[in-house]
Amino acid sequence: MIKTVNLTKKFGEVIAVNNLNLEVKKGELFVFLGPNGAGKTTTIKLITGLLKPTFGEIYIGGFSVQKEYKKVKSIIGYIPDSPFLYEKLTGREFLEFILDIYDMSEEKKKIDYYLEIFDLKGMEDRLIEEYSHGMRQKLAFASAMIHEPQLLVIDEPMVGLDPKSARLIKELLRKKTKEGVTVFLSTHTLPVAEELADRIGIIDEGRLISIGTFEELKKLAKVEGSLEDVFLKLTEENESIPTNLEI
Amino acid sequence: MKVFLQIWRYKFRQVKNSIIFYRGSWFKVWVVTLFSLSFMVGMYILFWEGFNFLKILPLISTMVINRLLYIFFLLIFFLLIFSGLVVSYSTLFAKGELDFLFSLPLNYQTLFTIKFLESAFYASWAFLFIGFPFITAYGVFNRVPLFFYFLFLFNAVPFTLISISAGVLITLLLSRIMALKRWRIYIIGIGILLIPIFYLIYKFVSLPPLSPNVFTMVKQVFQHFRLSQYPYLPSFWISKVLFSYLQKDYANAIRYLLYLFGVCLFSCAFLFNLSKCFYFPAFSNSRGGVQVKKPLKKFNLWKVIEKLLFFLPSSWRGMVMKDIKTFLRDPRQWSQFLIFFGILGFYIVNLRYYRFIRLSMGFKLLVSMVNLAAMGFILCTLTIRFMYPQISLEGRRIWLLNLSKLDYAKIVWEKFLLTFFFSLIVVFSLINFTNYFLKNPPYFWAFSFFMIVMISLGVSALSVGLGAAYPDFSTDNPAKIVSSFGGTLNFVLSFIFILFLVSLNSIPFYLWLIDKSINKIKFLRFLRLTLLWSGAITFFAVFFPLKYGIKKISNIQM
Repeated sequence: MIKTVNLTKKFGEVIAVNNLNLEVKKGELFVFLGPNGAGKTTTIKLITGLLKPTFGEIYIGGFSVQKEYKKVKSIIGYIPDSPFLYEKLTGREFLEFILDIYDMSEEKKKIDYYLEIFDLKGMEDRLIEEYSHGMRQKLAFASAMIHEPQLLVIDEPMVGLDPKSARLIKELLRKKTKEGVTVFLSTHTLPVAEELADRIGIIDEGRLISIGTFEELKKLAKVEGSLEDVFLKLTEENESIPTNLEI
Repeated sequence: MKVFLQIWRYKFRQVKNSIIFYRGSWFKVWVVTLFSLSFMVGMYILFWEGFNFLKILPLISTMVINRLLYIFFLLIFFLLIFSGLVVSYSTLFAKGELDFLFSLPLNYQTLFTIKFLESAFYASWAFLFIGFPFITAYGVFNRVPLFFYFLFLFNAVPFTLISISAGVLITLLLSRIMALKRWRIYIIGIGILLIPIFYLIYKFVSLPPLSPNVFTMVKQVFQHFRLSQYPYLPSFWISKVLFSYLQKDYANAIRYLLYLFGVCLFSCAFLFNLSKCFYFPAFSNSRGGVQVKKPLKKFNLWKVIEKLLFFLPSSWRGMVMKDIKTFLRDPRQWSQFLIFFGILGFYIVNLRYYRFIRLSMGFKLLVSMVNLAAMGFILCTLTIRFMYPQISLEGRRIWLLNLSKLDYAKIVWEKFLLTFFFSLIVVFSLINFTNYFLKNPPYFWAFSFFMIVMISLGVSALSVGLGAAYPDFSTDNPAKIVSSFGGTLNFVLSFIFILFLVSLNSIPFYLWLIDKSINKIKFLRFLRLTLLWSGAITFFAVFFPLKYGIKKISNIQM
């Protein structure tokens, strides 16, 4: 579903993504991990067509992101870490807008379905500016899913969600992958990654340093323990935790 | 096209919702409406009186007024290019909405067209506010038929789009080629604006010694502004359409109308096609990510300033240093400051060239008073723009400051004193230059110094006090903070304060030097009285807003 070939993105002298070669299969839930500033968000922006690569190619569902961007974007649902919503539209109007853009105006009944499952019923006719952070996050999820994308790209999905909503999102993501939707998820919440991931990729300083299932990563890191231990072990060469914390 | 219309439909829906669900201050809406209308009426009266004044030039008054129309459209042309440049950077590459829209399956050209039209809409407000009164005054003065106004509106659309296209083209090219950051765009924009402004000011001040013969003098002046008659400029075409219509030369009117519409279509089509290859790469460039910058050098100036502030307690010093650094490191802040006062400074420095100002003491002091008021109004605009949002911009961090040794009263006082100090430095230098170049008498130096101290104290206290009384911690956008109820109140009160202070103190000067109804002794007595009143008013303008601000912010629940 996702294929990157020698993907590189430079910002001036800085190489944010360095020669990334990655393949994510259809129906797979791929978790992308990395320390702060490792290049996760840049990779996501390249995949969703928000940034132009310096070198390399990206293919989504067989389409080139650079050359067939409209086709690519029509099969992607993207949820950034701080999603944009039109404050002066109501929740229902926003979802109608999304359906109109994706030329799915006839399928308005989906709006009620998604409002129901995201527990936004009763709030749908209020302006989005009145929504709490969690409600906005859920509306962003609804807007990314309502057009039935083949690929969901999610940056930090659990930010601001209460435990009930977080559980709902996790179950929805599992359901979607069973239906054949690919999920590309970037997070710092390692227990979530451990719980959901089919495969995990770890990026550091723009390079993909390891990729595989949780078990494979444990073997690679030669660590028995949680994903946190594995992650810290694999990234320790570049970042060491200071042991002397006294001032 | 379908998607294009759908997006506009939802944009209009947002406007409709903003009105239906409006829960803001109606006072603000009324004040803004009233001020806008008053401004337009004031401009109309000013232009009409100006045209009337030109009647003193027998035979050539019509020619002079018509030439002014060419110059007016030329100035608007430059203004629109600059507005287009600055506004288009915000609309074409704005964070948030654009990231969202680019993630949708939309054609880049469709997105560009939407944002281009938005830029044109936002950038042409000034044209509406100045152009409408000017054309109405011109029309009423010349008793033109009603169709003239429709013709103006009809031609104003392509004229605006051509001018904005030029600004948008510059933004697009610069962003694409140079991967510019916003502050660089501002600096280039300022440069582009300043070139024609300085050119026009230079034209004014570099007039050769004018002939005593009024006809030759007018000829000399217009010879100097012949750029407005340059036949390849859209400002010339729009003027020509209107004149040709009034002279019933319809063939020529249609000819220039076709020039306007033809070039408008060409420039829009050119931009539309250019956007196909340029817009997305430019957008991508604008998302520069983490540019590695050289670490900020340990700037010795900070140490110098810190040492100069030795008399302050360390908590105050830290706060002052933070505010100074934040201000100076954000070019959006000081660039606007620089533009306003740079232009004013340039004008003041060139006052010495105006020989006619020295003709009478009354006229000279009138110019000085107008300068004083202009400085006050600009200062008030800047304190509202920069100082009013300061407490709000501390945002949710304000508890951090409050946990330190600084209580809210001290925070408010620190911001007030800092604003007052910097305001005073800037206006003090400008007012001294005015007095120097106009060779004003010593008593006027003393008077103007007293006035600027009063004005700086009043506007600083109003901005900081009301900013503390009506904080908005929900946003980091200063423009949004300023447009709240408190910001509007600040604007109204500061405006009234300056107007009252300057008008009150102009009375004794008027009675002595122009009306000549009082002698110098009575004038000095009268002036002492008005200054005393000014001091009292300033005391209230400082004391009450600060007290109110401190009280409100101290009781705020975070």
